[in-house]
Amino acid sequence: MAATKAALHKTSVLFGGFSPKNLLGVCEDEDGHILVSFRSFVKRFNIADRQQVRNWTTKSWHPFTCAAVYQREEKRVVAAVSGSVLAMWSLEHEDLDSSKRSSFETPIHTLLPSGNSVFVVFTTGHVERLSETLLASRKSPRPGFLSTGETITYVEIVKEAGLLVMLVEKEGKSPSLYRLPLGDSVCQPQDSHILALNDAHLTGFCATSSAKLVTLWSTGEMYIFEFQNDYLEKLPGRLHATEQQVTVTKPTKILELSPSHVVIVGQDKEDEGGLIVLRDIKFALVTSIQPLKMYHRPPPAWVTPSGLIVVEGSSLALIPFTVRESNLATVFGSRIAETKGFPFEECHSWVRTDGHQETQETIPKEAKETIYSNKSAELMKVIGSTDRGALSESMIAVEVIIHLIELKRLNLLREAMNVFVDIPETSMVDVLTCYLGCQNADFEGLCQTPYMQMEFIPQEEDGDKIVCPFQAAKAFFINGVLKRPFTDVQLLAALPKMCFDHALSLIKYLHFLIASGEVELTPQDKGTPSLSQTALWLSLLLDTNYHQLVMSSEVAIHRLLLSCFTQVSAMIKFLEGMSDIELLARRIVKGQPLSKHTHTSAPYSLERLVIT
Amino acid sequence: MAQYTIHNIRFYDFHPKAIQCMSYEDETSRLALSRADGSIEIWNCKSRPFMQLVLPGDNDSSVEALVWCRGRLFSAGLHGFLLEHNLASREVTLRTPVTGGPTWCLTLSKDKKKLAAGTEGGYVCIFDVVDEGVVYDRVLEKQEGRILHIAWHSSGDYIVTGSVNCVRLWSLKEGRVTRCALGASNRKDEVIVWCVGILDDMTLVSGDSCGKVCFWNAELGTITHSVQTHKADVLTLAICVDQNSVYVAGVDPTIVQLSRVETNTSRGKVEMWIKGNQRSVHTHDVRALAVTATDRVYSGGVDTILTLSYYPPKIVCKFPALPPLGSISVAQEAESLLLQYSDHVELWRLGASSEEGGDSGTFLPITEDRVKMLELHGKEDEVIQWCAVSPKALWIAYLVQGSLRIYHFTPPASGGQPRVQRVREMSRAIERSHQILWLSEARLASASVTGTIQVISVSGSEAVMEKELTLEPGHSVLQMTCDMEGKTLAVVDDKNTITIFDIEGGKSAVLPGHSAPCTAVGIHPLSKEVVAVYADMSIKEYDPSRKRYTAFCRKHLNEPSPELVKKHSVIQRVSFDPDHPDLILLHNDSAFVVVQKGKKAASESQERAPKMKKVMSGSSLGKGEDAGMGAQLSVIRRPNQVLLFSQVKGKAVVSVELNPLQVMDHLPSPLKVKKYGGT
Repeated sequence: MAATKAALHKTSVLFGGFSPKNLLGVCEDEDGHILVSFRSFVKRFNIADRQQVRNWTTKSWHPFTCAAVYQREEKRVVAAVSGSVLAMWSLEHEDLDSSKRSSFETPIHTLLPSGNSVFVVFTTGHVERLSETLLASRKSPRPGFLSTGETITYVEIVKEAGLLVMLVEKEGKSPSLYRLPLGDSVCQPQDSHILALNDAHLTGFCATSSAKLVTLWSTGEMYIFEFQNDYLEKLPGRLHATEQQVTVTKPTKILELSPSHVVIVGQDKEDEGGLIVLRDIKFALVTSIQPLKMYHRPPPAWVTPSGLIVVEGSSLALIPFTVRESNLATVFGSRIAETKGFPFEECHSWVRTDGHQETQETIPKEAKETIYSNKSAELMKVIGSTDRGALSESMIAVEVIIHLIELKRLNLLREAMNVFVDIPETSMVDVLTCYLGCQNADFEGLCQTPYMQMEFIPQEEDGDKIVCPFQAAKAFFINGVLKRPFTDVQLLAALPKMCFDHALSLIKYLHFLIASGEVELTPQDKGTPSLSQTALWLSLLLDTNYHQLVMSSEVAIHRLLLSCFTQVSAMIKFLEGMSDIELLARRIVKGQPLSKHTHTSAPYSLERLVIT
Repeated sequence: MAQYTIHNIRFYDFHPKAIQCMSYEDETSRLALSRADGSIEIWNCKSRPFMQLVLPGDNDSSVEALVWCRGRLFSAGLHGFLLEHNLASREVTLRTPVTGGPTWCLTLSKDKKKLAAGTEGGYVCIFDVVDEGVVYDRVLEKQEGRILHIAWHSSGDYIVTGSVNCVRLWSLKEGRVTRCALGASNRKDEVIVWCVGILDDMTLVSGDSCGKVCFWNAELGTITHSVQTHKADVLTLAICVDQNSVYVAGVDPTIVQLSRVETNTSRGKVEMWIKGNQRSVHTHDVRALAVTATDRVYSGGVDTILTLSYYPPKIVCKFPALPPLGSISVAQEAESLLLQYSDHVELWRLGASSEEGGDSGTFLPITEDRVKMLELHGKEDEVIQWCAVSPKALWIAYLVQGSLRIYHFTPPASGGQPRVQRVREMSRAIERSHQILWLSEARLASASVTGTIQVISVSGSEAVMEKELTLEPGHSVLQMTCDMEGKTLAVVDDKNTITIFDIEGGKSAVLPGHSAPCTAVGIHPLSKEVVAVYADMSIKEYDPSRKRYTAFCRKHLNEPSPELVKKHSVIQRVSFDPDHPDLILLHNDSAFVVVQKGKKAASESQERAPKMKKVMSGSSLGKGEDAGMGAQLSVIRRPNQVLLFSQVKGKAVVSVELNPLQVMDHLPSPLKVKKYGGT
């Protein structure tokens, strides 16, 4: 269940010892490498081994003013220096002073990578493709649509809609959302609208690649606006959910991990530290939460294909994540969700280093399985024939088992008990009832059964011979049910529907299993349940049928219960005898000296006492 | 260096009994507790608590309730009588029938002039406590159902009782009963109110079989607060002196403190009772609780252990049950041991080993096993109260209901049978006694119920009183010990006086008084100096011939040893080794303590001595460092509870021990919480 759910994984630290205020941004350059930009240097990291590959330092009088990005088409790093100078250099370049530089009249706000190209966003609101910017005159100003006092607080490319979304703030006014067409040089927006909500201010904002605008407000309300379907007048869109985990009155950062998942990085409501909340925006559910040591305002967090990059304490940390498109089964829990394979996306590129050997994280087996996996053709046919309205395996299993019981297909039932992983306890009781109601002969020849001792002759003082109440084949089928994992409270609720005669037969059989030693602590391939499972089944059956057993006047039942008690007591005594050896053996294994007082339990002993 | 062979005796089949009820008297700092066998133990709690005396029970004994009244002890039980116990003579001095038969509970009015008893028949009987005993006052109107617990209001005008399904408030002035029903009327299963209490502000407190503690408004008869404190029956409660806390415990052995708090609500300030500290100090049902004026809680129950707990600081002291005093007697010269059971005594000759030497703690091969020489049974229904064996094991004596039985034992000749002959002719002057001690062969000291000490000579088949030693008037014997020759007798009495009698010379000396009660006393076999150990862990050595503390004592034993002060169990016995006159052998319930006089304290080599389980140097015994001489204190911890540690003939000591797990094995199962539901 957990494997199919979106989740944040274990945090790993990239490097530490910096002031988060100087951190400008993070950007992935090539597969497995990221660029981390500070005011005075840019570092390149190999995500796989968490090692720094390169470091470019700039002069203090030429600080970086926006985060460096990687221009794939030219295979170079681009960064803005001193506000209006673009510096470009290749990954192999060492000396930043000798990098190619272009100075502009208008200050640069942000560099936005998109696919192979990079867009330059000027502070005036003018947006140009980098290649165009370098071709055009550097001396000519880039007039935009923003007036004095207006500052860009957020800009993002919505590739699916061919848009560029810009959020602009002016002091004393509500922020405005501008929608710009994505082109080589754009200086006017398509349209714009004020982004406001009554009695609330905006604390989080994200434009996703699927043309959605996710906004979080100081009331905790989270709205989603769809660029392709709605007019800007409908901003902030439809109410999606209410955020409960983070402090919504303080600035948060919303990042898109996949079309269906976003993370909100903010301050923990319960604590002073930070918190990352992974939200499924399809089902409006929180699927994973991870605390951070500190909360920074605004939260420094970026998303790269390798994982989420956050500032954890005073270190830069990478949090890998797995996000797959959710469905009912992943949200509400089922091992196998669909009958067909489903597309999923996950961060596949991050690799783990175990010692010197690099291993690619394997896709969980469960994720590849369908309900038809590992089933015989006959059983697959039955599964296919059932009216499967449900998605989860347990629901399918219930339907199939009911169908097989109706058809009395014992061999298929046995297979179903073996191959279905998630079988409700009530179905297990149904199958047992079916088996117990069948004759021994019905099971003969259905399959090969392992050898099983059918009677047990205890020592004279311990009682009479105990015979297995079923023949080997029937016992083998029943074992198939008994050995399945179960939850005691669920089974306790299901057991009353088994009639007393069947319960008594089963008690006899469980008693035989315990007395004859057929069950083991860790069963081998004999197909028998473990001792603890057998004991728990017996205990639950005795509990469920307490009144009938106590009130019964049948001597045979009392003998059975007495024999149960005798056998269990004998086993406990036998095992208690072992405890003495355990202590001694443990000392020997650990190489500890043996206690001199090994005879202290003797009723009489002589001991030396020396008083110095 | 002293070397001994320890005879580890773990075959004494002692089964401690559950604690039934207890009562604490702040004025005398004494705790009385009864056990399931009907015996009553008096614990002196002035300093460290220790069992001072035992009032033995018999087969008909039953003690369901105990009450102290100005130093007098009253008990009641299923026999239907109110008893007054004389702690000096260990006898019952008063036996008054209670209307209503078996009595479950007793309570005393605040002015300590009246006693009330609740009975099986539903009667509450009130008695006036007078100097001569108790006088029947009246019986309150009979009510349906047994009265399980009773409490008296401080004004003396109200009594509250607990019964099945109800708590009743009795107005003594108006003769009116208010019944406070418990549980819903349609409820089939009954709620048993096991314990009740009443606060000065007329708030009733009850603990019941549902595990709830309820606080009632006495005027309205309604529950004001109900707290689910336990998973099973609440059997006992105790109210603190400040009336702001109530301690409750029961089948679920956690002791829960309920505290009165005031909370601000929209209706103004509201008084509430909330769960406070919880103490899990018992493994089994807690049946009795007693709270002292200083908020110390004594608790006891089925696990037989008396526990003292208080907070803050968080302190828990456990006092395991001990066999009654006089249950084990050592015949030093004969290397034998007399063990007392309720209906018989056993004489055992200790074994021997051919090997000598070896490190401390090593076990020696037994070449000659212990032998049960004799098993002497009393008459049917007789309970043996005290036993003693003479130093050469030729004479055995025991007490049955104060009567002295003396036997002459002839050990078996080679291949023959042992012979036992009872001394039948007892002088009329010999009085009933509660304690005996063999001074030497055929000479016995007996602490009579009248308070005198009779020296009895036995010759052939006749026992005659040789002389009588008297203590100060009003004093009664608690402990007696004598020297090896039987010429000097040290007696500790209930007024904490230690008197040394020179039996031959007829002289006596009294040790200087000490603030803490004496727990053990011994006489040195050679120097005749008396060593007394007190509950504050002080050790004093007194020279009776010079009638003053010895120079060693004055120099080094001015203050209790810090090592001993750390322990909460007192020293139970003092013995000596004639071959090593500088050694004083002591023991408490978990360790042997050896004081080595004239030894330099805290030498480095001794600290490293691997032979001791733990050797701690008593460097602070007096000013040993200044004088260059001091005393070394060695504490040898034992894995089991030590019942007796004493020197026997030669280089041997005997240690009678009890494995706590053995005690646990005989206890019933504790409360178990079922893991899953169902039928």
